Amino acid sequence: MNEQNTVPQAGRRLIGLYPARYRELYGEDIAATFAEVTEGLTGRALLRERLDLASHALRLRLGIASTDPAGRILAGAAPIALALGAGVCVSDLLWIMRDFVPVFTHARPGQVVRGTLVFVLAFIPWITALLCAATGRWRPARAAAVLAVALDLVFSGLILTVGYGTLGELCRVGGLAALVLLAPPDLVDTARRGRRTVVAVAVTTALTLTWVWAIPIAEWRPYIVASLADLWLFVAVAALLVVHLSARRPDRLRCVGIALAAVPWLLEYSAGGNAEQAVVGFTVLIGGAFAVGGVVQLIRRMLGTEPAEPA
Amino acid sequence: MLTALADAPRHGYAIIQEVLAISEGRTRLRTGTLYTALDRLLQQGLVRVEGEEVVGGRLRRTFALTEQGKDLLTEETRRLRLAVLEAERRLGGARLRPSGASA
Repeated sequence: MNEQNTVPQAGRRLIGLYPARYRELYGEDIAATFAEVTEGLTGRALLRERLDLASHALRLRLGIASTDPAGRILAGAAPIALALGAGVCVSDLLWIMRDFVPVFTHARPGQVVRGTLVFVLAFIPWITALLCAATGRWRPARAAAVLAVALDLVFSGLILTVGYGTLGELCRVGGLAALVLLAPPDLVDTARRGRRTVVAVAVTTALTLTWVWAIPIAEWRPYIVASLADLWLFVAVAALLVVHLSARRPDRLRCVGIALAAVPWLLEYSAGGNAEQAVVGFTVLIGGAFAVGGVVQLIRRMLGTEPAEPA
Repeated sequence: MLTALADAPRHGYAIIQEVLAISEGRTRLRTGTLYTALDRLLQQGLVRVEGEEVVGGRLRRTFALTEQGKDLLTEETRRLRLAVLEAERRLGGARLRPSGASA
């Protein structure tokens, strides 16, 4: 095509990333717009434009664009996964503070500096991610969450030897990063309701996990720590699912996304040697939430409270 | 983006320029973001492809609002106008009342 010749070579290469059918329909148009937008751009501005176009092309190629069902599922999953990550982090933070603050008071200055540095690097990105998501800034939230999971991985690598623990960490970190990165950013709910949900999930997760681990009865503790403690994270997700599935017009793909948000932890718990318990707990709680939602919708229909379809 | 297409059909680059102008320079759409949004608006039936033309040796596809898109924009405009009127009314009332007085 003659028009293609006026498009810079980098632009043409990026257009080549699009699926053939889409490229046939929109390729020239996108190439022309890209050429005009990038005229005179250099450095980071040009790089951002290229990355944005490549991201659109790859999303379409992978079937996870905002028009695809998979994209809508991921958009439902990503903010909840981020909230769960931040909630778990806050719970860990409370327990580390309880256990290590007395130790630090007797440590040498060098140890205190190193300990504080690890502490800050491990927790600040999660808190930043939560704050950004709570204020509707998804792209910075996403970047902070990815940094947080990367640092999780580094610390896990430093602390753990290769085994169940590391494999579980890898599964959780990889799953979380994938959910947050692959979700179409334009489809993530950054409206007030979505922002409140993120905060509510993070706070509920932090409080429930902290509460479970704080149970003082010594003879109950091992059983609860080994089994029920992990399931509390799924309880928070199941509760959110019931709320969404009981709505007048539930977005079913978004609900599948909410359930998907808990999968990184399911993988971690399963790899940690509690596979059967984790899978049963997840299935009962998440399946139960879908069942409750279904019953609520059935009752709505029976009572005739379902609003008429708009003309 | 619907506002950018409200008065006339536009091609991709013109939409980017229009959104920049409407937002007083605060929102600069990137190419990938623009077509992500257009894909969704096309799928929702709010926007349609109006036509194709070659300008300056480059093929340009123009996009326009559908009737459904116009209705949605009209409804959203009405909702925002009511919110603005209510905010102005309350701000006007607040100036007349002493500080800390309850409604």
